[in-house]
Amino acid sequence: MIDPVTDIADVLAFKIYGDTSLYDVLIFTFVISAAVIIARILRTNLRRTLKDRIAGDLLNVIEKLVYYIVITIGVISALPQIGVNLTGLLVAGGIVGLVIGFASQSVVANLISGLFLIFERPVKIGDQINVEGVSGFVEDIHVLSTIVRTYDGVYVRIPNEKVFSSSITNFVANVARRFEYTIGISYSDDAGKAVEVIRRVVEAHPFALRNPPPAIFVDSLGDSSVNIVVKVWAPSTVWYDVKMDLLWKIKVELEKAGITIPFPQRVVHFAEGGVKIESGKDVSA
Amino acid sequence: MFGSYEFGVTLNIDGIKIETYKEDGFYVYHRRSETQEVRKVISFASRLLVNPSEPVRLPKEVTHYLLIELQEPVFIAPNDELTFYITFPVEFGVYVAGRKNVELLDSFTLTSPKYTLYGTPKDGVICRWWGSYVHRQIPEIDPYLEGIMKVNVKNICDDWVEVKNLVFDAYHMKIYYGDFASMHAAVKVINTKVAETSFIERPIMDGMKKAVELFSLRKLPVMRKAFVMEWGL
Repeated sequence: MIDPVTDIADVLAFKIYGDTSLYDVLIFTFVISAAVIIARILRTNLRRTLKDRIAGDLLNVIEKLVYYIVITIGVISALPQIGVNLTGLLVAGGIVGLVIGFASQSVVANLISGLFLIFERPVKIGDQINVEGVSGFVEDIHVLSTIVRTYDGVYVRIPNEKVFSSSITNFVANVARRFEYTIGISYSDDAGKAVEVIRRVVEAHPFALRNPPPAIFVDSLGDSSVNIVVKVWAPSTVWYDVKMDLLWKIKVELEKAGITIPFPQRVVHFAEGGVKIESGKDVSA
Repeated sequence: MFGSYEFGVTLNIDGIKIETYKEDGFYVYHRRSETQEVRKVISFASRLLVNPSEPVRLPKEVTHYLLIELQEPVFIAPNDELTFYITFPVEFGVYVAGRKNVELLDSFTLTSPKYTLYGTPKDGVICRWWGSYVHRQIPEIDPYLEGIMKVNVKNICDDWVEVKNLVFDAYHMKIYYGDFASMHAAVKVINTKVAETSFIERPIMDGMKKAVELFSLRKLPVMRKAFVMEWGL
């Protein structure tokens, strides 16, 4: 008569390789799966709990750290179960690492650059940056690449090595930034009044910062207009909205005040007696 | 003005009309003024709470700091202290009161918000700006626009200090309301350039009620209870 219990025990005791039985492999799989499940649960709960409380980029780093730490603990705990000796692995790791390093230089370079990017943080998730001519929002910083969503909504993946070794322009690294306009008004208009109108509009705008103070002054006397320069500081997070909004308001208020923004124009003086045209040539009279 | 109202209420806050009513089987919240109109549908006939909220969120939340510029600077002698009253801008928070908790439904202000930078563009913080005179007694105010903050400044250093600006963190604010909104702040001057600002969980007058703390809902328990002004007073 067949005993099912003995039968299952025999199957589980079946040696796959060396001393490692099917039972050991199952335990290994179970521990790894449990580690992945626990890591995911922790990540989801961390995201839910801390979403409103800490900055998105920092939360992302914390999530990744917790996720990979839990999985690493799971793997380290489970490896002896399938007969992998970690001490031996460490010794072999040096040689294997050297071989892998040579074989996959760019991957390793991207990996190291990615780690530096995550910890040095020249850019953070959500920042507006320009790297290698690509401008947009940083969507994610992975171990090997950085994902940028351009202002047109296009997905761009930049290898971390390139991000790390390139000049990075971070438009929002500082809490405030300045922008400027040059507004040309007609020579026949009162420039002092125009400056006053612009100053009132800037002062009334909530996000045109009070300090550092805005600078509004006649900058140059152009060919067709008196050029007034307007320099305004705004919070980095809203500077572009402020730039668009403010220029429109300035235009509207200048028009209301009767100040004109002229087209380019050139005054032509004719010599006395006018110009006589002979055989298609200009000849002074 | 501030308080708790049953569904079906009609309020008029200095020209801003707030109503809750039932329409086509929906429960509706409706706020309108000459320049703005907000209409929202609520799932049940909930109570409405109108409270003063942390005045750093309008027209858009870009910071959680409030900078009050003193129109008359205050000089404080070494190891001395001074208590005075200043004003702060009022922002109205309209909350729906659920069965277990409250949730922000709408917010508005009758003031004209203005923002400023405290510190440097690299290390400083963006703050909602407000200017206030210093008063020895509780001043006459327009409660639709301003609240009253009682401030106790303690100079613990050995130099005279001049205080021109006070910066407060909305995460620490404890706002109370009665006929007007109020806060009670403490400022510890560490040296001529550095001070610590915090709030006292006590109203400035008896009978005032505590307002809903919008920012504290997001606060982590490990956060500091004071803001350190390190870019000058």
